[in-house]
Amino acid sequence: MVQGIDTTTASLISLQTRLMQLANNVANVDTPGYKQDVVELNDPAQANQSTYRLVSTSSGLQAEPVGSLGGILLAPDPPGLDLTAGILKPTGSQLDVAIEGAGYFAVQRGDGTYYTRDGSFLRAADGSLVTSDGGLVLGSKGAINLPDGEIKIDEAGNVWVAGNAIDKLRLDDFPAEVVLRKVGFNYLKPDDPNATPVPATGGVYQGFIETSNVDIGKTMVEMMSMMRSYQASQRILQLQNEALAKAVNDVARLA
Amino acid sequence: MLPILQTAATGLVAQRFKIDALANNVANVDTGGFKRMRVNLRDVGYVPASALAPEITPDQDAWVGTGVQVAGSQMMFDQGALQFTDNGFDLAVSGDGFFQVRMADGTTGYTRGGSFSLDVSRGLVDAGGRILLPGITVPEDAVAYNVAKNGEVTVLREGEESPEVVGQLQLARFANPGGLLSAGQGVFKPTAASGQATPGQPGSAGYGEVMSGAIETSNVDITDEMTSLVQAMRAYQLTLKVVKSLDDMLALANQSGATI
Repeated sequence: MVQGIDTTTASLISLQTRLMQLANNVANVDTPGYKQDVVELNDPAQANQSTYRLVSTSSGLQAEPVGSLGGILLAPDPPGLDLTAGILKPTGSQLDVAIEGAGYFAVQRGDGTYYTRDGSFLRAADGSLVTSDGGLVLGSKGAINLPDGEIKIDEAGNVWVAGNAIDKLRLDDFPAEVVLRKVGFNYLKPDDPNATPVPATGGVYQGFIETSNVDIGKTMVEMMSMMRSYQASQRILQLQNEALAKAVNDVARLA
Repeated sequence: MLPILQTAATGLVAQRFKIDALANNVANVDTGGFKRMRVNLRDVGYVPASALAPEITPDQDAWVGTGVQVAGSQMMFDQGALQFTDNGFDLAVSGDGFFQVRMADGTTGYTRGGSFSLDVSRGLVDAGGRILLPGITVPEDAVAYNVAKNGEVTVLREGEESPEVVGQLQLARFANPGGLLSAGQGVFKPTAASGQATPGQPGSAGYGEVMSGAIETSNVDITDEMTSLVQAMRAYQLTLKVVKSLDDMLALANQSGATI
């Protein structure tokens, strides 16, 4: 009805989606291998929305664009995944591995192959190398089973137990145009089920874990920015509401 | 808006769990035989934003996460430093493996060692009175006692020239020691996650050595734990700020009369 209200509502809804992603980023500030969702607001290139005001013209009331309010009103572009590497934290545990550079560990779960940067692996009771939810970590020969003994993993991903070569950790990567999506439990999956992985170029470090790539400082600033945007949008909504009330009650008054 | 608060709240729960584990580690930095606990986190399932907030239109929709959860608490069995004591009956393991003791209910418990002594019948028992398996009895006329690195227990009787073997200690290994259940006082019980105990000769391939007259100190590294504790508390504070900000926004929505 009044374009201004619709526009403001659209921006508030877009803000809500970004807020949800921000809240998830904050909750996962300590999750190993976590890749944050980009929730940037004030991108001038994207802020192409305008505000409107009601003016009375010869053909009746018209909504006239006033101008852009910059980043307050958002373009409906879904934000992407920030694949920046997290800082590697030394843990000293021989079952912890982290990837330096590009690539993902390949894990087999009941319904297919999943990918992860979280290398905090465990050894199951039957000796297989697993993730925290029991997914089998894959090597070049399939699922990796570790015999008893000291485990050594070199930078190429070769796994040695008590001096014997067991397998090589499979490191997969995807070309830039393949969109990856987080699916929970620190796993990622390509949106396109037919996307084929290619061998990765990254190296493996034993005794390290990749921390979350959530930047606390930047996240707090974004949150404050969103809060202000929300306040501004609320205020605009109020003003438009008042303008509409005037238009409905006063302008059309006959007596 | 409420789903956002729930997502942020999962962070509070997870960080609190982690802080508790870290604080317990720090409290036990001097406890003999203590094994530090590590809490692992993972994110929770992702849903379309429209599933949480129906007013979101398809062109505004995106995948959003619903927070964080504790993936598991892992006991880390890296070797603690060995401390040599005055008590000749003290035992520790250097390397992998656990001593076996008989629990009060007849089952077998597993321990990395500690202070042992002789009970009334001159059998070797641990600080909690549990018999060290396979059951070692030191005769009354023994003037010397020794446990070799391979677990062989020998005594030198009065008047004898050479020592006599009175028992052979074995060490038990597990596929996943991180899955062991702590029964207190440095004793652990096996679970489905840890796998069955595999006994073996100390010093053989994969098994550690028995160190007599020593105890294994806590494997807590105070610097690591304090650093992690500070980080966890910062994360907790950050999440509290987010929850506060979201609360303010909700209050704003209620005040202005907007129905988002």
